[in-house]
Amino acid sequence: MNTLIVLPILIPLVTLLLALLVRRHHAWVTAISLTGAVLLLLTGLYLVVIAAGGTVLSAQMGGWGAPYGISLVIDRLSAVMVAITGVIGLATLVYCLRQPMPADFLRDTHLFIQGLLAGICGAFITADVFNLYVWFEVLLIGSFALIALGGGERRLSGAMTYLVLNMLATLLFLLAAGLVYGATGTLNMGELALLFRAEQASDGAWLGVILMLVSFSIKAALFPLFGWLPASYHVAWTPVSALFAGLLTKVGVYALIRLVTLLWPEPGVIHTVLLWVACATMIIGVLGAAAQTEVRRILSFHIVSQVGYMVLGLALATPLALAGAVFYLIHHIVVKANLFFVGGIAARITGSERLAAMGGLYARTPLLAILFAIPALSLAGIPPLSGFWAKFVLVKASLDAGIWVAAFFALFTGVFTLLSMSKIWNESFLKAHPQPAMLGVTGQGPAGAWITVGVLAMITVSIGLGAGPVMEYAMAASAQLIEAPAYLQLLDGRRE
Amino acid sequence: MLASLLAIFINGLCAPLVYRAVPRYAGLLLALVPAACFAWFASQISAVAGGEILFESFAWVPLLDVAVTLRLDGLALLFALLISGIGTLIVMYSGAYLHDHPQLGRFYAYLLIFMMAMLGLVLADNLIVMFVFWELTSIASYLLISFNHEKSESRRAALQALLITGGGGLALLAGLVLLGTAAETWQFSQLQAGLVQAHGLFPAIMVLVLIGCFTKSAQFPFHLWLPNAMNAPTPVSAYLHSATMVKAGIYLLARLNPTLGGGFGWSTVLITLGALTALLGAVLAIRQYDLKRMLAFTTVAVLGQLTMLIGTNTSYGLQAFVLYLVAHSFYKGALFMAVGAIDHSTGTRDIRKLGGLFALMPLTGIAVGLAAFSNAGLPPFFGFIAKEFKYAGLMEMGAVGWSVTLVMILTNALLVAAAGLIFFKTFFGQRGHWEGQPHEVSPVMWAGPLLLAVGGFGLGAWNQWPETWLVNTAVQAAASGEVDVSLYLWGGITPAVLASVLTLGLGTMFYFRADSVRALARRLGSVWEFSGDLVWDKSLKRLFQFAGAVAGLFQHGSLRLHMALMTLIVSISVLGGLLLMKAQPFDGPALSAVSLPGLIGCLLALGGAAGAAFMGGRLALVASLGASGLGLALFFVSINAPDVALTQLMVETLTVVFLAMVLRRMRGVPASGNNTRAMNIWHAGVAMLFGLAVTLLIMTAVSQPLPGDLADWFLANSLPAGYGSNVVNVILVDFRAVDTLGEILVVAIAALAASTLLGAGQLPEGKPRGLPEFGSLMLRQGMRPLATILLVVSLAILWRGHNLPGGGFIGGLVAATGFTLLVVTFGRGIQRGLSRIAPPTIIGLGLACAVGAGLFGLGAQVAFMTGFWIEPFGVKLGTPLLFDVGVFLTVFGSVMHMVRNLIGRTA
Amino acid sequence: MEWIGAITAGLMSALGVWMMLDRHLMRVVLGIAVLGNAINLGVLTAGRYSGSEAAFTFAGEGALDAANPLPQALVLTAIVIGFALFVFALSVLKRTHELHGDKDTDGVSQVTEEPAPDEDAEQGHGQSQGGRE
Repeated sequence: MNTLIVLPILIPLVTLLLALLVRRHHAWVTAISLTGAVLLLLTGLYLVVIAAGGTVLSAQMGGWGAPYGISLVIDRLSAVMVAITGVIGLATLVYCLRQPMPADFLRDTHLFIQGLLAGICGAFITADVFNLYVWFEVLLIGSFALIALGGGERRLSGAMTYLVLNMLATLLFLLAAGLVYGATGTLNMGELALLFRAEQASDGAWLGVILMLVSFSIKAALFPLFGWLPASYHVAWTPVSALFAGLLTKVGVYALIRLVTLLWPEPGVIHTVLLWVACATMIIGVLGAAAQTEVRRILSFHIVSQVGYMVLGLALATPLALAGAVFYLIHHIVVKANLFFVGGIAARITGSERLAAMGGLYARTPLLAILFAIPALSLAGIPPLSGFWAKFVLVKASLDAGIWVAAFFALFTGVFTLLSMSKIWNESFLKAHPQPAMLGVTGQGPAGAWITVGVLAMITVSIGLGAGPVMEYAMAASAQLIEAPAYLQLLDGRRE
Repeated sequence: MLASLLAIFINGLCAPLVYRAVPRYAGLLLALVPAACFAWFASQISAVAGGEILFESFAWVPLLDVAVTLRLDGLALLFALLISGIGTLIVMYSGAYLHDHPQLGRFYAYLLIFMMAMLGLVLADNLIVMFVFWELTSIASYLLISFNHEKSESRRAALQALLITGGGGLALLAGLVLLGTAAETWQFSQLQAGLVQAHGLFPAIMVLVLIGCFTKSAQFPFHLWLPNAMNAPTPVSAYLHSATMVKAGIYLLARLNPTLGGGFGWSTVLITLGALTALLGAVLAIRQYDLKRMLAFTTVAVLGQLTMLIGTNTSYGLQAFVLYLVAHSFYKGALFMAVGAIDHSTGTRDIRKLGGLFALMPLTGIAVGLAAFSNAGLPPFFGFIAKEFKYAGLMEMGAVGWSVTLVMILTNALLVAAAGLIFFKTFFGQRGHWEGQPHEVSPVMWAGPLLLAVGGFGLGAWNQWPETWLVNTAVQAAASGEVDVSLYLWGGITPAVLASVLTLGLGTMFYFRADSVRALARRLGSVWEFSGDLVWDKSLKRLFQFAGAVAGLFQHGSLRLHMALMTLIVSISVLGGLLLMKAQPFDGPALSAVSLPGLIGCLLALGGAAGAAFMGGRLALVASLGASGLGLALFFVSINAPDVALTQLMVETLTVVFLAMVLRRMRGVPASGNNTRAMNIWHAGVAMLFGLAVTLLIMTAVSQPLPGDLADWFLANSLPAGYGSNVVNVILVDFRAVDTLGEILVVAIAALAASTLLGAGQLPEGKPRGLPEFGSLMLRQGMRPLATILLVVSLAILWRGHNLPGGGFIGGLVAATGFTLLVVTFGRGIQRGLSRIAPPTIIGLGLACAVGAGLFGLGAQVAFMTGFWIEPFGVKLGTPLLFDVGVFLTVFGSVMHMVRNLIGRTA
Repeated sequence: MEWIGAITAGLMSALGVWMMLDRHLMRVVLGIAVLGNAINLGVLTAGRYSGSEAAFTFAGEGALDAANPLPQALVLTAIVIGFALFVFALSVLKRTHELHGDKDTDGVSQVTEEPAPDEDAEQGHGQSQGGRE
């Protein structure tokens, strides 16, 4: 258990340092990096199996008991997040294989992705506020490195926007962590939860936590703080933007879910605020997407809109709604990353990602059409794909809770998502290519890319058809979030 | 049942392969599976007619009570027979109709998947599973409408259909969820009308379900997608958009009629909108010249009438519903396929260009004739019985029914005229003008329509058979109570018969005066159809404009605006929270005393920051930033934080060096401020509000004594448990070592990433030299010893760090500063001279040390990062020290790496 | 003294934000550093300036009035992280300056809203940058 719990951090970290030591041999770097990603995925899956059995892992780093040392906890939500991180990490690395880019560029991509994965996994398993800040920084610098990778005017411009706005968010988080310590005398999430659940938190603690929620909201790209996302995601290299689209904002969502469920298991004022924010996020995001004319811009705005759904589940705070949020997280990460990947292949074949300059894919590559249709329909919530169940559960939870407006927004957003997806479909697949001679001159992309999108599409279909077990897992995860046994017991062994 | 669904689905998936293997016979081969399903369903007729209901079930998402439960009762069986039977004919027909289309394989796949979905829809007993299939039919319909995908009208029509039916589908989903909640079950078969209708959610359920059904079945005002859907190839129009899919809404209405029906609201809505749709469809149909569009609008008219009939809820009404449903599927399927054949053969569908085809295409002509008679409701066709019962059903309702009857007479008269136009104008009269030589189509193409048309005739003429075996149970399923079913062609002179005669008379009149009727309809209809489509286009355009405006709010591309808005929102939410909580930031307990050095430090830090914020010029900027950092370091010293102060000092030094090197290449930085005063005020306001928020937050946090015992515990345990006197360092390398691990990872990645950028586009390394500013010989001579001293000092700092101020961070930074000086002076070549190890390797080794220190714990089966100590020669050595060495190496390597690339670039 | 720290942190944050809103990118990046310093000060202040001595414990000594070491350790971590990020920001700034010249802040950020280039153009960027170790 001591080893298992740190593996999600350790594997990418060791992979990174090994790759760094052999960095001159590009083939080795690739091999090490892929091995690391596979191991991370296996670890994640094993963690899910353990967590599904009801075991919650927790450990005190350095053997120092809580709240003095740093606690790590892997419950059902953390386990599944690690597993999904493994999936997307591996998918991205495979997609990168044999891409027509300079060798150094690919090498750096591998290195930074491993760093990013370490940060993401760290954020998913830590139970310490300041440690969470540190992992956020790790994933942030990893994402900075990746978004700026390759240079170019446009990319650096986006990187600058991304950097400045995310720095603001991260500094706010630092201040919030400091304030929370100053007001509560602890950094341990379990102790914080006990304090808030016993309603003994001071004003200072509340304010610190509110600031923390605001900074998470920036990371999660919630309305009205999402401006940085559509201003930057579309300029990165395709696999990088896919990785970001799948995982990065979701770390923010995870942090929101974790903190809010820990501190306020019962619905309260925070939930009401989140509810309206979620509705606004869904609708504004989807409207923004409707106005876009490039594949990745459309998809970027949809990230925002979809984050709204997850936060909606959090805001409703019923067990079913939380399960819906968890289900949504799982489903969305796979689908969204996959759409970016498919978009990349489509852009490669058609020569552009501007819808006006695309076309002809439906006739030329039916396989890609299927591979696009699966995640796209899933995103729009068409049954029996994964997105349907996610949306269905959230709609049901809203209606059960009597919050009609949320159900209305959720469904309404669904129609618009369908509109956006059919827009991409119409323009880049159905329509004839404006310059048929240009179609496919740059090739179809390497096989790794196709394998990636194929496997991710299969995952989407499996989540949809096998929604039973996934839903059970999500439901159990939701119960665990509310009761938070592992977190609340962290301090049981406190040394007097 | 499940097997049939799976078989058709797999059949669909294999279709492209089959087509590729045997393109000529693919249609016939692929039709085998639906035909087998039809046979199976037909074999169940006797059992179902005997009142038996077949169930099949397996779990899907047990937690949500969603199980794939299939249930074959009378209504489901009727639909299943229509779907699989007509489907078989359509598959064969499409093989001939589209024989030269390159994407025919895909077409089969879509068609078969649709068939599977449609069958699933009518068989499903679970509300949610039904919905799953419901949405699948929409998607299949979308794919089929846009089959001629390079035509923009097809794409537009497909999108329109998808959005209308998809949007309605989502309303339906909400309705079903509410229905499930109200009825406390997800099974159709267990819904209880009493429970649902007494529930407070009943009105909402009804409205939402009706929206879903009306969009799917093209009821007014959602009818506009159906005529446009005629852009699809004709087999699709015949199958999806007249015989099956559009009846899904009708099916659901019938299915839910026992549960939701009976009340006044249900009947009113269904009858009113149904009748309106029917009349509208008929009026629009009569004015068309395109045969296919004409058929499409008559379909709208029929769908309206079916909806209306469910609304009547009378025994005749429901019988009429089932009869009409069957009759329509037969004749409309036949008509569509025949029109397709005509189109295929003559190349046109315009009535004005057609005529006298009977001699050329006799078999198709017979099919059209039979179908058209059934359509017109002439005895002894099935359509006739349907019409009789319809009138009887309406009249049962009393006064309202009579008035609706009048509308229906008009509607049906128009339909009679339309049927006449379709048959007579096409096949008789003057020979039309067409290109090419029309000929009778191939057998698969005339067999389908003929079979359906003869079937329509046969069912009517020998109506005992359908009554006993099909209609009875289907009617019972759609009715809330027992209904006495008996079909007859002739029931004496009843008001219904009179109405029929009137209809026929009017219809004949309309036919002979078709032109003037058309002119009138055109005037009436133009308002409807034209405006309908126009409104659609306009509202879609408006919507995109609105979306554009919304997106523009967040896509202005101005970093400063993003920044300002985000900061403002943060400040407002925090200050709002502060006010709402009525927090007391000024209620401080006794705080520590003010110290002079601290105050000076603060002022220096502030002054420096202000200088950097407002002054222009590169030097001033760097200098004031440095001063600010120094002030902060001084302040840290004053509050007894020597380690923090040292770190701040080293970081500040390096910052200034880096800044100077980067700024060398830039032109002067102007003083701050904006072009407009308003902008200045806005930014200043944003900034000050944020500053206020930060201050108040901190004050609130310190307004009460610090709870918890963390500080005391660290102080008490540092020496006995961590073997170090410097508590801050022990926290960093032992108590909270994982934080530090993350931190050096940040430093390492930052170094790697920054150097990639800094070294971008760099030429191969030239002659190693330093910065020209450092060209002085004296300086160069003095630099070497200085750097050596710094390196030694740094090692000392690292070593003593566990007990005295210092440690890996500070040591690494000091060492890096030394190297920075050397590199700045002598160029990057010096680095290679001093060390054969490249900085990234140092970083890697550093990380390896840090991680390795943690692994000892894992090896000993205890927690990661657990410290282990040995004491050789009285010196305490432990894994935390190894960890600190890792920190040292990482920080050192990182800074070196950055410096090297920075210099290499600028030199 | 905590109040003075809080006010200093607030004022420095305001200055940092003001700088981050500047039309010159250089000052925006420096603003990150200033804001970072302010926040570090804030974290330290929130942890109180208790104690009259630095946090060192030596064998044989009894209870001493030492400063709270935890916020110091946190801030130390934060300073180093802040420095790493600042250097990265500086390198982005430098490269941006090389590519964009003397555009103002919004002039640079507006480039992201330009239409996407064609595929080959994107690869061109890949070629032009030489990843260096």
